[in-house]
Amino acid sequence: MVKYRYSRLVDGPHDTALDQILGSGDPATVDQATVNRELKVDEMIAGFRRAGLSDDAIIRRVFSAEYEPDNRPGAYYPHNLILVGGQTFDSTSKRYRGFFHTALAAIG
Amino acid sequence: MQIRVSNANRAVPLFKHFLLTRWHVTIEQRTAASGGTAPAEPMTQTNDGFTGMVDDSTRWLRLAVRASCVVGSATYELIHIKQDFNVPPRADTTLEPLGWKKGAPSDPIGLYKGIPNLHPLLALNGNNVTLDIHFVDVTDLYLDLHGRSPWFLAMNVLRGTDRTIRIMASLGGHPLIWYVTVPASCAGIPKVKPAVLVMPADYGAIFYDNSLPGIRTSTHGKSAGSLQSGLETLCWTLTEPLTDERYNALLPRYVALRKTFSGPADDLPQPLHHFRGVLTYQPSSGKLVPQYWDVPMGVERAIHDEKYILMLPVMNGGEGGVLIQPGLRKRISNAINFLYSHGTTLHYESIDIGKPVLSTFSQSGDNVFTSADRNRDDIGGLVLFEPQYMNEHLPGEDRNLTFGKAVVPELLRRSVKVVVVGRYRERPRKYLPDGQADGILTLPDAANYHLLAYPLPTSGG
Repeated sequence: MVKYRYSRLVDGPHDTALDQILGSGDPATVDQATVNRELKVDEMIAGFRRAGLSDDAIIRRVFSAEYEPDNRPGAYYPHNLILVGGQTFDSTSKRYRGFFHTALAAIG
Repeated sequence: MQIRVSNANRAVPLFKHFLLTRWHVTIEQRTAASGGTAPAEPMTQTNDGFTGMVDDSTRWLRLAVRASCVVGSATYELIHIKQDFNVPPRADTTLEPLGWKKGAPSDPIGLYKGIPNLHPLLALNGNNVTLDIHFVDVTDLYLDLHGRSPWFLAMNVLRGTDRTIRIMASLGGHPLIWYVTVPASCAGIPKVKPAVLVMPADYGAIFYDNSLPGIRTSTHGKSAGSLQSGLETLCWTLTEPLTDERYNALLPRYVALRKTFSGPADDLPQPLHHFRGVLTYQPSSGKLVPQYWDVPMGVERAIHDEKYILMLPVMNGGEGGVLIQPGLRKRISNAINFLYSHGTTLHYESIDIGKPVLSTFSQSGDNVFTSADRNRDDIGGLVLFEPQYMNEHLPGEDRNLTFGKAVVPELLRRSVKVVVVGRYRERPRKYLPDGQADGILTLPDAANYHLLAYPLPTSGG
């Protein structure tokens, strides 16, 4: 989760799932509402870039504190992401181990 | 000789519960001389149970206890206990348990169990048999009502591990409905470890009555705006974030499933790529809004690998109910024993049920700390995700419940492991007892704490 917080903002072209959504020729996988929404996301990111924003500036702009439930600094990993986050990522399986998993393992 | 069948728990209105409206309690008897078994005879219902007469010549008897719930034209048999006894020849001796039937109420044969020789939901005192039942399995009833929920259907498509979900009802009061997930990895092992995840009133709770209409309430299956249905919370809790490989494999089936849903899009399971660990964004009024709440928690993988049974009570708002009363371990064990005796989900020869691990997120710290305080010797561990109620009240919080700072040190003294997850360095007074982490396992750990910050180190994270 940590690794992928910003990838849609700065590395979308390398996201194979987005390739499926936006570029699939298979009618079985086309969901037009999703295509439209992700195209809009792409369009907004392109607009940020045309305005001269760097990756860092885009991230800082999107992750503003207004989305933080308790309205304090730290919006890059807010209250609700804590519940689904983790600190261990297995690059082979592409799975991260959630904090809940790590906690149960520690308790035994 | 008279035998009695009664209720072991005053706090449970067993014989008057709205889910148990039709009782049928019988005894079959066999004499030494005849060798044959007389037909089952109904016992007589009294104010507090059932009584029946056993002939002096009887040497063996079978007690059968059945209780059902009638909803419309459907009848759901929820309790079905069959217990065999030896009846010693002397009148002053008591019944001797021989064995019992393990299996679903619908299973006419079941598996005969002689070790232990007394049904796990019965206690025996002389010739008085008591029913020790705090929970019943209402899966069939619940899924007949809510099994077409888009969230339930989506969850089953997205499942990443082999596990069984049972829906249980607490007979002693709220939380009435509990989702119990048994991973295949612990279905056939002797040591059963329960973990209870308590969600806060403002995320994951619904509002429903402790009644049959309460079970029928549509918010069990239908989300509405920012109010998650019970089954949405279960779907989100269990589902493991999808890898690219699983995403590609699931996409056609998932897209086809979503096309069968109707209603406002915001109330329905989101597009498949939202179930990954990759954060998605919603364009809104010229902004991109991070969809923090869409990333699933992935508990099914955790309980599968660590061999835990997950119990997720559907909270009625913030009402702690039986969750915060003394005797929690007994009730949790009772629920698992019900599953064990009334089905094949748990199938080891005999099971040993450990102390429950309690987990809380945010506002539900109040219920979890209070429950731990009232059950100090019976807690297997605490997992605390940025818990409120640690040291002080926030505005509007219930002031009758226990602070974490009062109970966490007590648990640590008992060698209970306590895990705090979140931004404990920035907010030690909020998330750590008296701001101190001594003896507590904190996550992210010291080597990984930087992951909460931005920018990440160039090495990734």
